[in-house]
Amino acid sequence: MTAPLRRAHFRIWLVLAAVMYAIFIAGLFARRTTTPPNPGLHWEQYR
Amino acid sequence: MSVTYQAVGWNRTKKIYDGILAAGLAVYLGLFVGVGSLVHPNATAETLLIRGLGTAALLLLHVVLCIGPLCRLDRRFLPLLYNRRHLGVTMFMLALAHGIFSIFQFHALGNLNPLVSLLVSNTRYGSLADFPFQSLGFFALLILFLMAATSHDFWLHNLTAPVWKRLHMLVYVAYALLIAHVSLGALQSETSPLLAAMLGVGLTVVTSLHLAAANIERKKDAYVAACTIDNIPEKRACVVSCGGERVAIFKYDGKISAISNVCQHQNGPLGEGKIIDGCVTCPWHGYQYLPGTGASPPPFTEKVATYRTRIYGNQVLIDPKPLPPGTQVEPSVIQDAQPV
Repeated sequence: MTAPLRRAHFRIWLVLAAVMYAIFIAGLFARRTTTPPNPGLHWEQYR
Repeated sequence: MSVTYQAVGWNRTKKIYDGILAAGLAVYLGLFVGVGSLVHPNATAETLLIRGLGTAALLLLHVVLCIGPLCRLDRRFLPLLYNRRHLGVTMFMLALAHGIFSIFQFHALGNLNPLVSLLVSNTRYGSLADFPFQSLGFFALLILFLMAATSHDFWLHNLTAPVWKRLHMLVYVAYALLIAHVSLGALQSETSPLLAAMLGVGLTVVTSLHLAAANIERKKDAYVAACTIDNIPEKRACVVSCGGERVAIFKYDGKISAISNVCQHQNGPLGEGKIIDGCVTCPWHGYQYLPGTGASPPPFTEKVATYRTRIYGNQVLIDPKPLPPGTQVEPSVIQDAQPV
C-alpha cells in the first residue's frame, strides 16, 4: 500500500539532491565580496 | 453531532520531549545572541534575533527531516519519531518569528504594504548574487504554515491518511526553498565560511539519509509481507493471494518455501494439502511436488511456479513475481531469520 509513496519519495529526493546542490554551489560561486570599509567614514560621530 | 477535538493529548513522555526541546532552544538562542553580541558588537539586538531565530529554525528543520530516514534505517531512533510533529510546529513558530522580525526590520518603514514590499522591492531574478531570496523564504513559510495548521490528528482523520501524507511531503519543497533562501541570501554577505560549511554538511546529511533509507525500502519493495511463521502449521501451508495468484507458503523442517497453490493435475488446492515424504501432496488426487523446486519427483514431470521468500523476525515475505515452473529456490531457514 505504501510502495507508490516510497517510490515517489525516492524520486523526489533524487531530483531534490541534484537541484539543492546546484543551487548551493551556484550560491557559493556567486558570492560577492562584501562592501569594503570606508576609512573616512566614522558612524560613531553620527550617533 | 460533532467530531471530538482534543488539542494535545499530553502525557509524561510528551512533556519531557517538549521540555528538552524548549530548554535546548532557549540555550541556543541565548548563546547565539550572547556570543553574537560579543563577536559583532555593532550588530543590533533585532539583527541578532533575526539570525538566531532563522538558524534555529533551519537547524530544527534538519533534525525533523533526519528523524524519518533514521527510523527506517535503525529502529532505535523510533522514540524521536513519537512527538516529531511538535518539533515541526516549533520549527514553524521560529521561522514565523524570523519572518516577522525580518519584514518589520526591512520592509515596515516604507510607503508600501510590508508584504507587497517583500515581493516587489527586489525584482532582480536574473542575478544570483542579488536574487530576491526573501520571496523564497516567504513561500517556504507559507508551506510550513499549511503543514503546522494541519498537523493535528483532527486533520489526519478528516483529510484521510493518503491526502494528509501527500500534503505533508510538501516539506521537501519547503526545504529546497529554504536551501535556496540561505544560499542566495545570508550566504552571499557572510564572510565567515562557517555558515556555508554548516549548510553543506546539513544538506549532505539530510540528502544522504533520505536516499539511503529510500534505497533500502526500494530493495524491500520487491517483497511483500505474506504471513507470520506462527500462522503456518508444521508441514502445512498458509495460502495467500499475491500479485493476482494464490500462493501456498509451506513450513517444514525449520524451513519456508512458497509454490503456486494450483496443482497441475486438476487445479487442486496444494496449500490445503500437507508435506508427506518431503513432498507437497495435493489433497485431491495425491500429486506431489518438491517444495524447493515445485517439480514432481522423477519419473513424474509436472511442475508448478515457485516464489522467492525471506524471513524478517517472525514475518514471512514473498516476492510476488512467480518464477518459471520448476525453478529451484533456496528455502528460507527460520533460524537464519533477519532481525527486524
